[in-house]
Amino acid sequence: MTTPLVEMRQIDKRFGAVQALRGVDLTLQPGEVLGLVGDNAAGKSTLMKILSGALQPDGGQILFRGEPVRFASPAEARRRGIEMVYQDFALCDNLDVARNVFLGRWPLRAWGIVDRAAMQRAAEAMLRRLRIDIPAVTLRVRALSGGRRQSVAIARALSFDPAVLILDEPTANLSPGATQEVLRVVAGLRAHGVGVIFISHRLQEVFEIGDRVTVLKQGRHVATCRVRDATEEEVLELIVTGGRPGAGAGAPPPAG
Amino acid sequence: MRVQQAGRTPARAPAPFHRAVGASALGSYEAAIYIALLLVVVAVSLIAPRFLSPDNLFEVARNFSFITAVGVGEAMVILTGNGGIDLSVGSVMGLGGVVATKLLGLGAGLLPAIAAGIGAGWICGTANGLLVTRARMTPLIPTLGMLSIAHGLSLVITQGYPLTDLGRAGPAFVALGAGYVGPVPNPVVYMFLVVASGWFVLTHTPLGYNIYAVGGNAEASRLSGIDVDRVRLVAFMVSGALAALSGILLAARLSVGDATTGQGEELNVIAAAVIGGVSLLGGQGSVLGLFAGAALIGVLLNAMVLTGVPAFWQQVVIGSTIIVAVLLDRLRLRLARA
Repeated sequence: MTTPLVEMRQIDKRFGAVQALRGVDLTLQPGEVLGLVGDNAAGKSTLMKILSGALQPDGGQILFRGEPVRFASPAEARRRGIEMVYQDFALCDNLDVARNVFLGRWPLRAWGIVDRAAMQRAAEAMLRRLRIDIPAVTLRVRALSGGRRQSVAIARALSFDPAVLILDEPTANLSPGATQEVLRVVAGLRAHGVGVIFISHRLQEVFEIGDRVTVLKQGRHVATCRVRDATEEEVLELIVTGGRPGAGAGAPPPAG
Repeated sequence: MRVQQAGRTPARAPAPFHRAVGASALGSYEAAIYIALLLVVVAVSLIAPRFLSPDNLFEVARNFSFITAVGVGEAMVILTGNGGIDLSVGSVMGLGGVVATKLLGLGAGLLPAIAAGIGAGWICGTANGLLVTRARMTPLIPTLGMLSIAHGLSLVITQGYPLTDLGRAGPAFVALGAGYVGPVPNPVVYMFLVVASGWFVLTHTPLGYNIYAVGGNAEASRLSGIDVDRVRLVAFMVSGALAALSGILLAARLSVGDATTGQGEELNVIAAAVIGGVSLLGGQGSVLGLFAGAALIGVLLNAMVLTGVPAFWQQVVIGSTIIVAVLLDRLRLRLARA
């Protein structure tokens, strides 16, 4: 096996009295879609915010391409090629698609003027490459459906040319049609060699596009398995029981 | 979870595609305000044919030129969102004029005096911006305070008397405000220069793009690497400096430095912006809309003069126009949603 793209080892994180993560491990291979599942307060988002630099761990180690790294901010994680798409899309509704894709990184021509035509061409190319179907990059994002908005958010993340893309419940609040569109886009990222971590609470989506799945429960790593070696029922069992028969009754109450 | 709070905008049903496509060049509101302006102009010229005489038209334009120029800076502040507003522009106009005329009276040259006046306004704007971005004050508060401070400083400098001694550079100074380029009064030329520059900055430069992005979703902008605080600070600086420059030209036109010049103009400036479609929520509106809003106010006021409506009604008309404009916009949104 090649060096993992990302290796998180024994990550601890506490918020005041709440132990959100306890010694969690996670690995991501290049060109792989890793599903990250677990019920509420399992620590999925916390773990990913640590990887993307939005939070700092209290303990543990992160290896990026085998090299220990420490991210003090999302900007530092971004410089290494780790990009996170937040659950609420984080788009500017008042701007068009092209401007949202290049938010804050406006291509310039002479005299420091924004090169609008180049920006629109690049945005179109980006959307075409991802096979995202949007009628025109000059449309305001406000006018788009939820699925298309999510696709624009993913396109922006990819315009940073990341090695790792983290998607926090990208299909929450989407219609079935829009969900399929987003899943198709995510599945297509594999072809670009991007490692994707896909937080979801819908197992069937993880089984549809994931290569492996990591299960968290109450801030602990429960199991990681290859999707093709497991069934949805088995993973659901892990999510509910935490991997030990009867553990759901005997485990300490959820901290958060 | 600041990210989620800031990222959420009130849910609004997606508009049909064709509407959004049509809105790409000029926002549909801007188009509507220009149509409204045209209708008012036609109506006024039917009622009072004198309205269309070139002299009267230039007079109208000169009267709203200062509001428009100040409004360009105000619009930038409002566009950055987060309750962005600059209530101090009227007083800063007065301060800019007073600083410049005082220095002229003390024997300063034309350019140093003007530069110092602009500098005074820039300092006011910088103070506003720093209080908003560093001390995290809601913009209403520091700019309300600055309204009082700037006016107070003008009173301190003038000791309450109009400054009429404009020194050796006085004639050149007065010519700046009262002169003409061909048939066009200088303030009107100035207005068009400021509007053109403001339009260019907002639609063609990274600063303008950042202003709209910050006003649309500050958190998304921050996550994308835009220095949100810097953008807001710059907007306040521009607003202060433009207000002062406009106040200087107004003092030149009136050939006097007076602490009361510009007082209360902040309401007309904000009215022009709102009537012109600059959303107080940020991220929405344009300098071209603002221009039409200011022109609409100017034409209405002139129509009242031409038709002999007592001047005391002016404020009533401006206030009603603001409310009607915003009501119509709400109605338009509701119809678009239905």
